[in-house]
Parts: sequence; structure tokens; C-alpha cells
Amino acid sequence: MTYEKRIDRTHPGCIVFLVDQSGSMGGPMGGGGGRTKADAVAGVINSVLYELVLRCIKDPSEGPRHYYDVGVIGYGPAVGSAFGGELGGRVLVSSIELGNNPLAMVEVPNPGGDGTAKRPQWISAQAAGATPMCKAMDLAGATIADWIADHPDSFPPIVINISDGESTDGDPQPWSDRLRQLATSDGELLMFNVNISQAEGESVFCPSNPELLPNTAATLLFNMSSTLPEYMVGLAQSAGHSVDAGSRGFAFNADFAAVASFLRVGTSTVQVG
Amino acid sequence: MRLVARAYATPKLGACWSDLEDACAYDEPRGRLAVADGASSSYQAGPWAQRLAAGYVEEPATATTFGAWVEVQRRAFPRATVDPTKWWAEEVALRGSYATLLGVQLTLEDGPARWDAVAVGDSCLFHVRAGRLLCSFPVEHPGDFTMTPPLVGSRDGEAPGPMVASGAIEVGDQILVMSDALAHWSLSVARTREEVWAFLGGLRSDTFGPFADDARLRGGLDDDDVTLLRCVVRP
Repeated sequence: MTYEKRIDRTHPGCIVFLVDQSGSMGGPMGGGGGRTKADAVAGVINSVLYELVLRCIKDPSEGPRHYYDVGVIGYGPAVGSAFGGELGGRVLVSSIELGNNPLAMVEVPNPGGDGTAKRPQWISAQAAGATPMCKAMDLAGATIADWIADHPDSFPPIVINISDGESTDGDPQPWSDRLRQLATSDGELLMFNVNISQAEGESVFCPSNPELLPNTAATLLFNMSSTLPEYMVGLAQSAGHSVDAGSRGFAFNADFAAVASFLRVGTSTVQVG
Repeated sequence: MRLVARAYATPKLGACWSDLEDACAYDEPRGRLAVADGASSSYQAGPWAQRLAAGYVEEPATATTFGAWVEVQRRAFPRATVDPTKWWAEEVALRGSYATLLGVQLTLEDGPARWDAVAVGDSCLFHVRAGRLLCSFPVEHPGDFTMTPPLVGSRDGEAPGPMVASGAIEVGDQILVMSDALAHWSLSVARTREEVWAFLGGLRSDTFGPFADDARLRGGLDDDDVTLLRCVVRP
């Protein structure tokens, strides 16, 4: 049995985002309300981190518990931690550190109604340079291998790579294969990929049949991505997506709504606490 | 007739007792039993479950009084003190706490003996007579447990309507009330081994924990908090 390990303080989980910060991310995001891809992706990741920290709070007077180690690796003009402020330069931080050290508090549209709400922000948008995706996967692999050595029986790490284009430093398939060979006693690392688009409404979401994919770029992402564990299939189905037991964890031509939906499913873990 | 009740609980593997998010309460003279299971994804799940279980034993709810009864529990539930400078303080206050509840009122005098139960969510009651299951409530089949059972929330708003059930009691009957993990395990095992009900009736305080740990490690029992509240009707 795999992907069943409860996440708790003795067995924290690990989630790492690889974020394309190349120049092309300065283009408009499909369905992003005029925002650039870099801006929209940073916003979605900040929102996911916010939910992740809240997931770690059991007793509000105690604050977040160490249920997760989280990383955001940017790749563009440089490859490294995308965190700012107190967490700058750190590739992996605990959910306690994350909760206590946002880069800033920003006003966002209130998701529950009118007006705005203040939300924490940990990363900011960047768009410059090339797309060194392989180097980012290399850094993620080295970091996660060390993490697994310390947490051999935890829920397997989750890596989510978000990009609008193709790697400029080589074929990413061998690097993603290496990542997927990393494993804890509860299963292999889950490698997911999101290809984001300037257009709205033509997303391919977690397909199970590579023969129906539109081009070789989509086929490459299919081959680079892990099969969704059973509980994620259930979550995706309950969110209205047409997925099945063979669905791979990737989205192609994803607009803003598809990216947000994918990250909600892809960062879910089994029971926490 | 009189009621003899015993309660057993154990937290998740590797967790400490303070992490327990199940709660149970009983009052033998008044024939009241309750088990509540706090939702791990909510805040103060354990204390809210304790409030619901204790609240039922203090004043049992019925289908018609349930909404007002929940309001009483909400008012009696102490809110956590949160540092207002923390960014999560407001969000925590908005989201609230959630738990299942199963409450049973046994009537052993003044007419035919009976039990009446209310349930929100998947904590379960099993009525056992001479080692055979007479009634399973509110979940009857192991496949009917879900990841998102109905829950009673601590925030203002309409409470979910409870399911209700009742049954006639005889001397020697056992009423087993348990949180979802053990209920799921029991219904699964009972499909091929009806003697599971006699086995559960024989567990003691020194055998319950080792049984739960062993069943978890073998994979049959979900790694969750486990609570069993067992009562026997005596002459």
C-alpha cells in the first residue's frame, strides 16, 4: 500500500514547487485578468502556501505545526530559492517558519465576498532570462534526497513544475526520471507538471491516454509526470474533473483557473495531524 | 435493568494523548452515551468533540431539539486565545471547529426498555445480542464511509439535521459506540467473521491499545484516533 502515510510532526510531508521565472513569463496569462504569467503563478503559489500553513494549525494559540517542509525553486536568470525576506536563500523551510515569516501582507480580492482581504505573500513575480529547467530539477533532487534520508517513512515528496515553455538547458525527461526514482517507504516521489498558456479555455487536465494529446510537447509532459494516486483521483473527480485511475499529474495549456485547480489537487496529501 | 459502561480510546500511531481528537462521555444512571470525532482539518477539533460529547450527556438532543441544542454547545465552547498580530488569527476565527456526534439515550424503566440515538456523521452504534448484530447505525456497510461525512460546526449557522434510530433492549444486550476507523474495521471484519462482535465485547483496558496497534500495523484498521464506548444491559 502506498500514498497512505498520515502526515504528522514525526512524519512531515515535503512539497517543492519549481517555478519558471524566464523572460517569456512576462507575457499575459490566459484567464488571468490582464496579469502576466509570472504574476498569476506567484499569486496562485502564495495562495497554496497560505492554505498549506492553515492546514498546519490545530490550536490557534499554538500556531502552525511542523507538518510540512516546503520549497519554491525559481529558474530563470538564476536557479535557487524563490523565497524573499527572512526565508531568502532557503530551499526548504518548515511550515512553522513559513507561517511566521511571510515576505509581506498584501491586499487581495476577498474570496468570500466584497472588498479585499489581507493575505501573506512569500514569493514575488519575476520574468527574465532563459529556462534552465534541468538545473532546477537537479537542485530539487539533491535537496529532496537529503530530506528523504531524514524522513524515510514519511508520505512521499511532491514536486510540481510550472512552466510556459521548453527547457533551454537540455532534455528534462532524464532529470524528472531521476526525481521519480526517489522514494520513501510509502511510495515514489510524485512529479507533476503544469504547462501554462496565454490562451483561455483549452486546457488538457490530467489525461490518461497519451494518444489523444495534441503534440510532442504534451507527450513529453505526460511521460515526465507521475500517475495520480487514488485519493487525488477522488479529489479531482469531486472538483468536477474527468480523471481516472490512469491519469497522469499534468496540465497542458493550462489557463489561470486550471493552474489553480491543479495545484489544489496536486498539493493535497492524505490525513494531516 | 441497569447499564454498565466502559470506554476505551487510543490516539493515532506515534501521536500523544493530547493530540486525541475523539471524545466520549457516558452517564450510567441516566443511560446516556456519546462519542464525537473531531475533524482533523479543523481547529480545536478535540475540544469541540469533547464539548459535543459532554453536552449530549448533560442534556440529550433529539431530532426536534437538535438545532437549539447545537446553539447551546456553541455558546458553551470556549474560543481559543489567538495573538491578534498573527495573520492567521482572523481566518481561524472564521473557519471554526467541526466534529461528528453519535448520542444514545437508553430508557430502562417506565415501560419497554429501548434506545434512541441521534447521529451526525459516521461515528456508529452497533446493537449486539448474543454475539449477533441486530442494528448498525447510521452506517450499515463498510463501503459507505466517505472522506467527507456530515459534521457539526462550532460557527454560527444552521446545524445539519441528525439521523435518528431506535431499538428495543433486553437484558444481556450490548450497545457499542465507536468512531469511524473502528466502525469501518468492525463492519469489514463482520462480513466474514461475525464473532468480531463478541471479540469487541471482550476487550479490556489492557488489551484495547495493543489490539488497535496490531490492527493498524496489519493494515486493516485505519491509522486514526480510535474510540470504543461499550455498554452492557444488566438485570
